This record gives sequence, C-alpha cells and structure tokens, in this order.
Amino acid sequence: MSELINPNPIVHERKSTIRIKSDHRNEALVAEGREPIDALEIFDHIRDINDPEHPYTLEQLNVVSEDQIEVDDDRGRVSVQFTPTVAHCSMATLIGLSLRVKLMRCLPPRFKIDIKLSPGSHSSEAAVNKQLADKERVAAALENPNLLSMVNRCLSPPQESVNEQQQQQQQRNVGEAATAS
Amino acid sequence: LFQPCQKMDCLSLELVASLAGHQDRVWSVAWSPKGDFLASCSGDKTVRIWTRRAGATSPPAAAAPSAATITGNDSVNPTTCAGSNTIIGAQQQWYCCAILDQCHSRTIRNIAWSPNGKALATASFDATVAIWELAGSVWEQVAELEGHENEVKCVTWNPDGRLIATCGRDRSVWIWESLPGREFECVDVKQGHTQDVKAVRWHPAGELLVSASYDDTIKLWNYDGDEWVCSQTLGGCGPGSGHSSTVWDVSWDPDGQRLASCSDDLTIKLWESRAAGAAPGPGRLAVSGGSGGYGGGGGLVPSRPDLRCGTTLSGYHGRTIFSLDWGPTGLIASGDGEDCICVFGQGDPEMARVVLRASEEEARQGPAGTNTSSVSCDGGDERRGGGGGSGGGDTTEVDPDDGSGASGPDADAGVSALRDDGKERLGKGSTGLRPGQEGQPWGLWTRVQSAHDADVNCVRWNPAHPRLLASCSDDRLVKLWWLR
Repeated sequence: MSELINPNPIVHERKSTIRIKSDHRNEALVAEGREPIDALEIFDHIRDINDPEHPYTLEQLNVVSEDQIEVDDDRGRVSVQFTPTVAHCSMATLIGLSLRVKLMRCLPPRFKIDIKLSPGSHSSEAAVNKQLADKERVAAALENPNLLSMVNRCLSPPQESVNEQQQQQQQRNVGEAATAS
Repeated sequence: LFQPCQKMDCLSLELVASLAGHQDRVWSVAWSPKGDFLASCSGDKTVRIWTRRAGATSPPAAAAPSAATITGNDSVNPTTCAGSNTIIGAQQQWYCCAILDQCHSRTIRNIAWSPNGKALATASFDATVAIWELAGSVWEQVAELEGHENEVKCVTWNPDGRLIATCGRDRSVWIWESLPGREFECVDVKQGHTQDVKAVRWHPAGELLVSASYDDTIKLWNYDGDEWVCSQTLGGCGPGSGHSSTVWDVSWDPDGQRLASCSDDLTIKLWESRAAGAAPGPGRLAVSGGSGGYGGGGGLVPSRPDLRCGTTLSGYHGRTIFSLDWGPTGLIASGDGEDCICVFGQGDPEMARVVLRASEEEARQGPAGTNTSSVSCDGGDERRGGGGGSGGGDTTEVDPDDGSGASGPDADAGVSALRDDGKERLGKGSTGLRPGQEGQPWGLWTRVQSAHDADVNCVRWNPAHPRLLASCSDDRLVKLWWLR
C-alpha cells in the first residue's frame, strides 16, 4: 500500500454526544424493558470503525454521521449512508462491507440493513450500492479469508489498528526520508 | 404500500411443519421428482434430506438423534389446524432422514434432483458441483464437476437427465453431459451475461435453457446442433424492456408456455410467446408429454423462443424477491426479503376456493368420486388489461400487438376452473387441479407475513401434492405449507 488514494484527508474531532431521554417512548417496548433502537445507537456502533487506509475512524473522517442514519425500530429497518473521502475511492466497497458486518453483529436479526453511498459521493455509486445490497455477493465475499480479515481489521478496537496504521505511516515517512537524502 | 383485499381471506397458506437442524441460513430447497423427499442446502455446508413418517398423524415417540421434527410453531395451534384433508395430515411428521456433509468447503447454494430421483447435484461457493447417489440407504458423492472460476450459484438437470446446467459469479453458464460410469463432461461454456448469473432452469420439454442474472437480463439458450447459442435476451435494452435490477429466479408454467421471473426491482414478470394471442382457450395448452405437446396451435416453440413481457406484478413486495415457483396448479408462489410468502393466481380466488374444496371432497371420497365438469367463470367482468386482480398492488398488463382473442369474458367458452379430463387426479401430472382461470387477470390470492423470521430464500411447490409448498430462510428453518 505505497500510494494512498487520499493522502491528505480532512480529520474531524470525535463528537461527544449526550443522549437526551425523550418522553415519547414506545410503551410496549418499555413494558418489555427494551429501549427502541435509534440513530444515535446505530451511530455508536459504527463511529469508531477504522478507515481501511488512514489511522482514523469513519467519524473522524466524516465518512459516517448521525444525520445520515435512519432507523425504524418498529419495522426493524436501518438505513446508513456513508460518504467516502474522495469520489473515486476504491475502498468504498470495503467500507460499506465493514458497516454491514458491524451492524449485522450488533443488531437483533430482525433488522433489515441498507448501506448506501451518499448520493453524488462516488463515481460508481450505483455499482457499489448494488454490490452492497446483494446479500449473496456479501455472503460469498465474507467467506473469502483475505477480505474477511480486512474487514475485521477495520472493526478491531481503535487502539490496535490505529497503532498499526501509525507505525506503517512512520515507516513510510522514514522510507521517504531515506530516499530523499 | 399494500392494501389487502377481502377476497384474499378465502385462501390461506397453513403452516404444517417447521424443520430445524441447519446451523446456518438455508439457501434452497428442492423436492424429489415424486415429491416424497425434500432436500435443503445451507451456509453450514451441508444438505439435509427430509421426509415424512408414513401414516403418522400423531406426535412422534422419543425422537431419534437424527430426527429434527418440530410440528407447527407458536402461531399455529396444531389442534385447530386439524383440517379436512386426509391426503396429508394437518400435523405432519417430517424428519431429517439424511445429512450430506464433508464434501464442500464452502456454502452450498443450490441443489437439484435428477429426473429419476436417484441422484442429487449440489452447487457450492467453493466453485465445484458435486454429484451424489444413493447407495442402499447412504448418500455418497460419486463425481465432482470443476471448471467454474468462483462461486457456483445454481445447478439444474434437464428433463431427460442427460444434461446438467450450472451458472455462477464468473458470469458463465456451463452445460455438462452425463456419461456412463458417473462421468460428466463439459460440453459448452456460455459467456454472454455481463455479470453474475443467479439461476438456470430448463424448459419442461428440454431443448431450451433459461438463465437469470445480476446484469438485469434473462437469456434463453438453444442447441443449434453444434453448440448452445443465446436465442433471446429479455431486458437490458433500456427502460421498459425488462427488469431494472438483478433477476433472482425464473420458473416455467406447467404447460411450458409462459415464463415467470422475479427481481430485486420488486416485480414479478410473466413472459409469453408473441404468438400466444392467436388461439385462445384451454385446448391448445393441453399437455401430452414430450415436446410434441408444446407449442401447438400458436404457442411457444421451445426451439425458437419469442417471449415478451405480458404481465408485470408490482406493488406486492417491498424488498427483493429472491425466489418464485410456478406450480402444477398454475399458481405462482414467491418469497421475499421482507420475510413474506405470496401466492398469485388468475381470476377469482373465490372460484378457486370452491375448486379446492371440491377437490378435497373428491379426495376424501376416493377415486370413485365424480368429476366436476368445467365451470364457466363469471369473475371475468374485468377486461384483460384491466388493472388490479384481487390484490391491492398494481397489475399492469400489456396488450398484445396483434390483439388477443381472449379479450373479454367468455362464459360460453367454458373457461375451466377445473381442468379435468376424468383421468387426471389430484396430484397426478400437470393437468390435474387448476384452480385459476386462464386468461383472467392476475391477483394476489394469499400472503403470509412473517412466514419466517428472516428473508425467504426459496419457495418450491411439491410436484405430486400440488397444494404443498416448501420454503426456506435465513432464519435457518425449512417450512412446509398447505394451501387451503
């Protein structure tokens, strides 16, 4: 990975979010002792997914944000739109796959999950969306050990992966410095 | 999106068995040719074969280790299900009689029985197809078909058992010949689809193969004496020409005259021969077996397909339709990503209910029961081409260019609600029970919401018991349904 697709991504701060308890609650769920799943909860699941290329999370790179998430708990539907840092990002499918896998692992099986690129954010938007929506393609892809380990690296706890990526970044810098002199 | 119509309540799909055992999502189910066994395949890399305990209508005694029978489920009270049909008891004792494993290294996506019921083919994401034969009481792998570059998605035997067709993500359709001594030879590899091929199915007369693809098209393939050629492509020529997204499954009607397809574009399309309008009435569709019975009198000629889209069923599914099956009764079942199973029929479902009830009576009385003569249909007050059958969705029908002879209700022609020549019995051949009314608009006759707890991946009608439907799902279950 010697050339990054986007060598200078814009990095944002991780937002601190305070959950405001709303008065409007689904009484049936309360009776069950269950809080309805909302956009913030989904965001909490995905905000710290690592970008495959850079030592930052998807939130920090503004690839995902809370307002690009729609949830209908009653019907069991989640829709996430994500925005790659550049329009021709070849990592878009991998990011989409990581989002899908994370949510599949975290949400009850009754949820139908739709992952799409934000409209206009990618040059092959329709093609990427179609792949991400095809569950047979997704299932087969995840049986591929190389791809699965790439996904798992994105999903691994931030510290390990960030350290790894930062080390790689340092090695690149050292390499460049060495060749420059 | 969808407004159920009162007429829908006259027919229902009743759950008769819920089969657990698979350790991962179940992708496909396939009935043996005689309808006595059901094979299912799964992401757990195994095939399970299910059958019914002979004669049992009471709960089983201590379950054997391989028996994985769950009858009914929480929402169905077995005692209230005790129905009037004696052909198959309302509480069916299905169990797993065989597990085929340790063969494929990845998901098994599809299975197919050979026409003589003695062999099974399995298609896997590991890029191979395995052929199995029953040796005594044990299934053994006897051959392996290698060649696809990556995931194989579908496998199907042709009606005379000589050929097998496969397809996969490598965009190709392969045709294999079955040779003596359990040898298989690849006789052709067809490129043509520009993307992943999801399904292949043979026409009941043989001679014609259909493939369905992620490239939104359906292709028809014929043998020209030398090689297989693509004789027609449905769709892919811009808007309005066919499906607008991945086509997942295709199915021929029992007469081999029409093709149904289902898609990620949320519609089902019914395709028919351009020549179909010429000779209306049930007579021309009589099946006498062999290719001589097909295409007579202006219908589809399998060796020269000329299909066009006659009907689109839209508004009935909210998510991808993964599977459909056009059963021996002429009814179409579909399974979708909203966990639903739908059944579509032509004409008036109330009529169908009468017919089904009559056939139940007949079956109870035994073979000596009298035959119902053809019943003229008075539900045909809608023009062919009129909107909406009995469902709330939008049924659009494209009038044929040359004008159809079947344009209006024709009570005197005796559009048969029950096609019965006196020799055919329920469950015997495709000219048995036909509750639908030919030439009438299509409508949704029944819909099971939450048929499963997850996506329904496959639905298949039993070839011998035409009211029995099998389904399978991401919820790891196989379910059996009875149409009442």
